Amino acid sequence: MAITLASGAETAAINAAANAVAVLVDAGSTAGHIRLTLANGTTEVATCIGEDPFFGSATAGVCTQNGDAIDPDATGNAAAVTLFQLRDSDNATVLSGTVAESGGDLNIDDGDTDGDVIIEPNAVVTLSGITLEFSIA
Amino acid sequence: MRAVGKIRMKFTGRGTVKNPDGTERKIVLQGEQLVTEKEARKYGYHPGERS
Repeated sequence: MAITLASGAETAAINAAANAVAVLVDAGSTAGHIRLTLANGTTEVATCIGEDPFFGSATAGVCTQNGDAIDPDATGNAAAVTLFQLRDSDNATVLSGTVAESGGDLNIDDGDTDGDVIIEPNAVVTLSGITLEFSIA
Repeated sequence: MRAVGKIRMKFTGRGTVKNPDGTERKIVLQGEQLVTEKEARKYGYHPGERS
């Protein structure tokens, strides 16, 4: 038999879930970041450092990024970026996903259609308007 | 009131890559994960049991 949630309880639950994940990004002593890597998950291509705290508090299950996360001088790599990690400043991963030209979790149009995402050395990478949302489907 | 079926997590946003030659490329974040009741059981979710 399925349980049911009252609407007020549902809002409280999704806000609690979103806040619980968002606060993990701030667990280190300084600001959290989003790191773009090669397929091995360890070779860093760009690290976009956010504000501290990274997200604001949840409203209706949505935490919204504070300001921007920026890498003003990317390491870059001739090989394709295929992964990203959202991490705290102690490098603990909170959330991870794929990077692609399209169809990935994080999509970058790098100007060609060869399917690979190449970020050049010294590029400026900016991420903004990031939302972390929990809902009951 | 509604049944708790699945929990959806979405990670969205936007951005830019500005190359040294001045060209600029767009970034779109659109990650989503739907956790079913079966998957949630792995993490201790037990519907219908008395606590």
